[in-house]
Amino acid sequence: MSEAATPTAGRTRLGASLGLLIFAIIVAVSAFAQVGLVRDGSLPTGMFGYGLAITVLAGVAFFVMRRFTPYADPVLLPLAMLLNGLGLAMIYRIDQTTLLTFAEDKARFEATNPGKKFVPFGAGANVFGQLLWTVLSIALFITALIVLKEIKVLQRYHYSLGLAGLVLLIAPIFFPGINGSKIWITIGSFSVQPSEFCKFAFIAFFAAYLVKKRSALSLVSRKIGPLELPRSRDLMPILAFWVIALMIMAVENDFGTALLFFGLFVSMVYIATGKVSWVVIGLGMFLGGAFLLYLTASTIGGPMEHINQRVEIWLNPEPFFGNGCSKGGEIFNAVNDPDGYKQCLADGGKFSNSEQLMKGLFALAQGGVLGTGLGQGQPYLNDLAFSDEIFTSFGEEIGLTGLMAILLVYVLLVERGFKIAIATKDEFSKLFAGGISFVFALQVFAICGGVTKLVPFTGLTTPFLTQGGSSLLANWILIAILLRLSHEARKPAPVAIQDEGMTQIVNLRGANQ
Amino acid sequence: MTPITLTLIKIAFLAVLWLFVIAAVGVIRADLFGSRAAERAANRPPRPARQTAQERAGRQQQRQTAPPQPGPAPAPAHSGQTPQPHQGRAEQAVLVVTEGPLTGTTIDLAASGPVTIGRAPDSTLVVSDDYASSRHARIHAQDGGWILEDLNSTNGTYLGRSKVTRPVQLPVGVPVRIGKTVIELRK
Repeated sequence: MSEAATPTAGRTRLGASLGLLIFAIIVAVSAFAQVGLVRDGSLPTGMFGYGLAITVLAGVAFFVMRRFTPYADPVLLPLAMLLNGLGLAMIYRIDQTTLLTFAEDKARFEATNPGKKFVPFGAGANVFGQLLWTVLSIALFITALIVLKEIKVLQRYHYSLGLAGLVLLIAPIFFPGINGSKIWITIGSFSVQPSEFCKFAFIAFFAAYLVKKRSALSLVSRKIGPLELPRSRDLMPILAFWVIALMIMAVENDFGTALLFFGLFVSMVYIATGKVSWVVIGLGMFLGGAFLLYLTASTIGGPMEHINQRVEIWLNPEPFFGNGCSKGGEIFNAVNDPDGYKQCLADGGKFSNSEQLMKGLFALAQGGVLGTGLGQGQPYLNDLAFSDEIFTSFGEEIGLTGLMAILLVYVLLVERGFKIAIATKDEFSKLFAGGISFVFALQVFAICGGVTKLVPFTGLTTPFLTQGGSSLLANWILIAILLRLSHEARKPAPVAIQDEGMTQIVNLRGANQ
Repeated sequence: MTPITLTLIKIAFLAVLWLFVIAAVGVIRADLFGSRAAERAANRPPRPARQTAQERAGRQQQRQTAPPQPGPAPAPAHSGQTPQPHQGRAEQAVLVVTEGPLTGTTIDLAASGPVTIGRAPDSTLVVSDDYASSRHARIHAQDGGWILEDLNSTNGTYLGRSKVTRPVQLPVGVPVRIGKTVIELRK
């Protein structure tokens, strides 16, 4: 881990940051332009409005960064802005109401089918709503950048934050689920995904907790074979969190959320102690627990059946495409075998539908290496094209080449986060930055793994891309914290105004500018 | 629009996207590149390799003074508090934490000016250690070398095995113990 100081430490890199930010805006606006050119044959009117909005937002964010954290990492803001802009462009593309011919189509449909409501493809995609969320997120980003001067303040409230995180995590159980996952709090037509805000609370809590317990967790151990095992009493917190993660999986029916929080905890313990045995223990516990849960669910059945259903779809989605029913190991598809399907349902078989997952896989196949080109594919055929499956929507339209670029942007984001963690000089900030970076990486893994059938499908969001307010708000706050931490790490040390031995007068204000 | 135009637009967009990624990597590279060379220099035995290592560092600084990215030049560092490059060859030095919770942390002495070590949050190196004082020790430049000074700490600062009672010259590679933290000067 030994690394010499960077040549740019103690220098602002605002020029590079501004250059990259302008580049990011150009990429996002050209995505809008391409959609318009292909769909409508001309530059879309929406491009100017949204382009201007993105530019203004990026400009304000940059100005605030320049004023309050000039030594901050130069690439974080442009990377986040690029992802946010691309997400907007994709939602704009899926939102069929932005079509030039939308009014015409609607009128024609209503004339031919009187009394029926016109529901276009991609209904639910709302690019204007997403833009409003972006505005709100940038506002919150700015507030966080200005208010959170000392991240260490959070250390004082760590038990409160941990409790708040836990409450937020458990709250969705009492609300109806969407697509089988109970990870939303729904009030009227307004829904919040609290796990997004939990990330922040838990990172702060874990960081503060581990600062206190670091030595106990890393120094005291028994050696059994090649593994250094911690004392059983030090295992209690990880055990508690393991139970919580399994409960999320069982009750909220979301593999991804459980993976996210348990993985976050294990990774932060690893960052704090540097002991591989914790990772081995954590991974073993998680995988073993998930498997045990599946076994229990398949023997008990009844209320735990939905877990089985998830696993079945994950392992074998094809027979469930377009409604399927499984009973006693046999699967009846509604399209291929309608009679068997009806019979199976009548006999009390289990109904499952793998439509979203399968359509996402079709979209990826359709995209191939170069993609169909923005505006030329049909990602809107998937009901979740703008939310859970936005990754596959990109896969269809910009292909593997584009997806790799997007994944690389995430990689760079995470890399910068870990770099900031190394550069910060106190333990709490180190753990905080490390936790934020890891949670980004794990979330991208969980969602991309979910839509590509590597892990069970999850309701987590793709950071910055997915349509939805809670995710955007929470992730922009995390970016603000990373910027603040990197500013504190890279700014030049306060310099003594006069040199007089033991007493020093130090100009703190000068160093903050 | 003809299919060929559509394909061209598609390829152009992918190219722009990748160019952005490459540009971002370029900016990050400017942050990291110097560190690799400096680390190589730091790992080399100081006496015979000093000349080449310093030449390398000098060249590297010249490269940095050229603008590495598009856009306006970076704002000048405030009030010239950071030492200018080329000020003195002896100032190419880093402090490396070799023991304690912050192991692996490095501080570029040339960039950060006088270094304070202690529990106070405004210290350059913040050690959270019951054996360290809020303002424990200070390292500053003098006559092309580095001076280690104990700021009247409770448990003392040790250079090698001897307690630091008055400001002393800090030699390269000798461990400085502050509470549970051990740091070392490397060139």
